[in-house]
Amino acid sequence: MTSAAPILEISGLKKHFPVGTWRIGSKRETVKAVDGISFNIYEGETLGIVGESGCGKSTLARLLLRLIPVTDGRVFFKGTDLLAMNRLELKRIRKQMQIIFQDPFSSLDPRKRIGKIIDEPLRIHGVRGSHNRTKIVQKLMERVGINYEWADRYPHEFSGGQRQRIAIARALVLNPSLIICDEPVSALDVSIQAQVLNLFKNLQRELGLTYVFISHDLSVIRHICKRIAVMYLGKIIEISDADDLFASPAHPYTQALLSAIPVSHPKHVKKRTILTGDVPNPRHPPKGCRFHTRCPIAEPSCSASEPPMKNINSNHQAACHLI
Amino acid sequence: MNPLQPSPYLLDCQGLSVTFRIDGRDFKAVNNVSFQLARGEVLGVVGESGCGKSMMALAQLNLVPEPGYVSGGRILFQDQDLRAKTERQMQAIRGNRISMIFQEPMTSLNPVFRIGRQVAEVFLKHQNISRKEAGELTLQALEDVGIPAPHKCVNDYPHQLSGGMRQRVMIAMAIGCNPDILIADEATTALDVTIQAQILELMKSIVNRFDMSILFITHDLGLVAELCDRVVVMYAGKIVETATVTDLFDNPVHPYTDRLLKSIPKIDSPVDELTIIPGRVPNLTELARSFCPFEPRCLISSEVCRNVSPELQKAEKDHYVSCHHYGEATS
Repeated sequence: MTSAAPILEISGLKKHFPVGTWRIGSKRETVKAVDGISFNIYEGETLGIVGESGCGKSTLARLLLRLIPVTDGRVFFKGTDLLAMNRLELKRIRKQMQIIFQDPFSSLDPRKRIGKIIDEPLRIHGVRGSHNRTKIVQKLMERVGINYEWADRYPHEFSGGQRQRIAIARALVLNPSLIICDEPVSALDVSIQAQVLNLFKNLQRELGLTYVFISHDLSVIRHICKRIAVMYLGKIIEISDADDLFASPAHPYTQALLSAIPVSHPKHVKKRTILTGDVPNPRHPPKGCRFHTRCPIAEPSCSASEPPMKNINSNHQAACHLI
Repeated sequence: MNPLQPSPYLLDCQGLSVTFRIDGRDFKAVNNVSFQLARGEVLGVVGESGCGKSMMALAQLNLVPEPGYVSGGRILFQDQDLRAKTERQMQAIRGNRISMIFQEPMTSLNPVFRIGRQVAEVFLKHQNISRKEAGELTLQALEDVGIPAPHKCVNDYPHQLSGGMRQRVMIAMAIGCNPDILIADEATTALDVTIQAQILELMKSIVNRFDMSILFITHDLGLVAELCDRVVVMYAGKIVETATVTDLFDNPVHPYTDRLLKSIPKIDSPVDELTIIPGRVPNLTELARSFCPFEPRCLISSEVCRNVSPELQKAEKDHYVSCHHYGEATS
């Protein structure tokens, strides 16, 4: 992992959303959706980001592409500072980074034919020659498994799985090096999900893509990712090689999360750590370690200070006072 | 159909069909489905979206939405045919003897009433008791489903509760009258995995404590492995296979079940490439003629599959499959 160059370097990334009403003389309340995240993504790898709803996964995805303004922190894409760029520079560099969303029903314009939808990034980025563009679109549609004869059809004529293939074709049309996938298979049925997951893997092998793969489904993450980051309430609490993480999760939250996965066969009996309670309200996250309110092994000291990231080995870090 | 015979089962659903009439054309969402549910048993119904599993569940309580209607079959509950009941008689059964919980706990609770009032309504409706007694039963029911402070919770509105808590409230309402059958339609799908684990534990304990039967409808085979005793696999409105849960996972005989099990990424044994089922689920308009609905996606299909729809046949004890090619050397 360390041999490859980082394609994306993130340090101290924060996003605070203002909420509630603002009163004169008092500071406005914020939700700290992403609160101080640092990690690197290396060329050609797939980094998985897991966490429960509301932990800040999707906000993080948008921050990585600077689709929403950053509160604090730095993002370097191939060594250049993404946050220091002006509009024109940003547009140019976005050719190399694309995003695929969860819901292929709302991410495709219902009034455009799919050929146009896939062609749009090419036009926006000034690829000349309609004949040339048509050839690129045709090649990509066939690559993702959509018949080119259907280019004149509208999105509603396709099933969920096909629409997600169209979204993938659109993301690939500019030949990007980094693709952020925000829950790309969560809306799909099991049999269709397997088709799309295989497509993701094959495309990566052929085109040398780097993926950031966000999902709440641990078995999907396990299947597709080489490295995994676990998020809880706006922070990364553990990041590790996939094999290592599943074999020996260090953080008590990761342990509980893994033990909560339903078994894959009725004869497997699982020792389960059931977490009590719910994820706390992100408006008022617990003091100290954010997990201490639900942690089965918490000690009084856990609520005193935030745990720093500790090295378990060179490819495995976790943030817990008790390891 | 022969006259009513006493059934050894709590719920015996025979040849159930649900039809939707749209623009004068009939579409069968559920097509001749039969299954049995014994007392204390957890029966899983799995299938992908649009396979008819939810309609099949709603039909049990005569709740199929317009323009759909139950177009055939019999539903025997404690040897009484539910289809012969009047709406008033059904109301005495719903929520009392058979109750149901849904996927979206937010939309099944009324946002403008406090939790206490909504839960108490179940008792006031089905039991001849005073408001005070109903209030006490409400607190007890909320405690039974593991709500930490029932006294506080009864005064909350649904939006003040988290998704997991709302689902607990729904379960409290559903099991309050100690029904014989609980129908859970994708009850944990909207929940996070750690909360899902909590609700699963709760449902397991309910089966043990109250001797209840559960009809557990889901798309997630992992949950079936976790909770169910027996499974019904549905595809395009039909049952393709039914077996005990260990039998189904060890020895799936229908090509659809077999490939479905293989297409799920496994945590403990990762593979490089997933087995896929090519193509897509047929939509209702394509199901009018007689054929095996899985034929277009099946690797072992033949001429007969294209022209004759297969019947459920016995494979082993407690194991039924509807495939023309069952019994041949399967790959």
